[in-house]
Amino acid sequence: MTPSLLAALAVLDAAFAGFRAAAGRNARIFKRAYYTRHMLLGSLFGMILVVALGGVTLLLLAGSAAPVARYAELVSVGKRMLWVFVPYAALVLSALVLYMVSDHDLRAFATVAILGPFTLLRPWLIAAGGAVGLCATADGATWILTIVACGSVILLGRLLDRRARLWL
Amino acid sequence: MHVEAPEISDLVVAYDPETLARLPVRRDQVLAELEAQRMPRAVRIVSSWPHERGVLDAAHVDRVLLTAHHELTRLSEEFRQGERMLRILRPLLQALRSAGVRGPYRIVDVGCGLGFVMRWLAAHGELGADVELMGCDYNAALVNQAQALADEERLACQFVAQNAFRLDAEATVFTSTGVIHHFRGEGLHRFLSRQVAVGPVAFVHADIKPSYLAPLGSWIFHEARMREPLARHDGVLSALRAHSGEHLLEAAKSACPEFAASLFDGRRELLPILRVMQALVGIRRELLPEFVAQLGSLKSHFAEWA
Repeated sequence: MTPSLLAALAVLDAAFAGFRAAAGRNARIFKRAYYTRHMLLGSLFGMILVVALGGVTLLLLAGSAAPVARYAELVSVGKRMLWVFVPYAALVLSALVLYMVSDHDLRAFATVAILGPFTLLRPWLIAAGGAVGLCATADGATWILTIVACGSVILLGRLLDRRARLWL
Repeated sequence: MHVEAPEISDLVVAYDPETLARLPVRRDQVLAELEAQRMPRAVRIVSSWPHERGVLDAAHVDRVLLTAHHELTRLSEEFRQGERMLRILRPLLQALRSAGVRGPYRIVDVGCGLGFVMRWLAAHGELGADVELMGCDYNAALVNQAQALADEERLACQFVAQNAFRLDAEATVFTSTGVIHHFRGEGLHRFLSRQVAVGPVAFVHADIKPSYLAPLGSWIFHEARMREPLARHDGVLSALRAHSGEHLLEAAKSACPEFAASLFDGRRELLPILRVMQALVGIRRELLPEFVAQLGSLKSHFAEWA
């Protein structure tokens, strides 16, 4: 459950990163297809990242003397990371729903109070999630894997933005 | 940064007021002005721009402005600038029809940039066949791009690099979004009096609503949404420079006494995040009763008419 949830959140985050990379580069009025395309592209990059991180995890477990214990350790780190990521994702998704279905004033509230500030906070929240996850473990390999995973999620946003700057 | 500090975009372009021909802008003069205003970040931004014999490269300046305006379009989408304008224009146009003001009604957007609001209205507004949408801006690069975007999506609106108050065709309504804070001191009075001198029946000028949270909110949004350094810098400054509702109403009262004026969403709120924009709305006094009658539930969004 924990690995699947982390993977789903990573792909969702990449989809939004795809949206952000495309936003502000096309001034047309009708852009649903444009945004959909870039969100799908972001999701694809997110899936590739998840598969790559999954592969690294498998290698780590295969090389471990006690793979079951290490897997349990990784899952417990992931669970603690979700304490930060799930509320963040729930709040952002709720704000998006509010933005899409509510009236003019509540839309402004959703974007001014949540969507804007939380975009700015995203890298810090990912780092905070990693820190919370690692706070109760001293296993070096787990630390490295968590830092690489959190760092690559942050960097994927940058990569998508860079790609959009070059291609759009 | 302070309220009267200039935005970079105010300094790096200059036009002949008669012909609107682009005038060369000396880099050292811009830097001296920014240094005098103690704006080190702005100095760093302009210092990095190319120049030839001390004159800023106009093509580069246009590229920066185009990028900034593309990013601004994203904020306009997010803050529903088109919808806000439509909410005011719909009852306004209905009032003109009911009062027997003859069409076609030409809505002219002043300082339109990439023309987001006019193009959005053309796409979604359903304002009627008797309404013409036009955007004016001094910057030809922005206007050409606005027209190209409109043509690409087959939107019925026109963009011209002209002074909005010197058009051959008469404007019925002048609009603007995020423009009037650029007019400071006597400039605001001049802007408002010049627009009414050419005979419109109404005007709607939307801009950021100043509040204790506006500078912080503007900083967050420009950091989160914008990439171009000029857009980030000027966007934050815009929130500081936004005119208070009282100041806008005072200016309207003295510059265009034949117009009844009020503020849309201008009321001060304890938590000013629900309504981050306000609009100065003016209408010829004889048309006010009809307009108010058409407002319906929107009436509560307006302060008293002065």
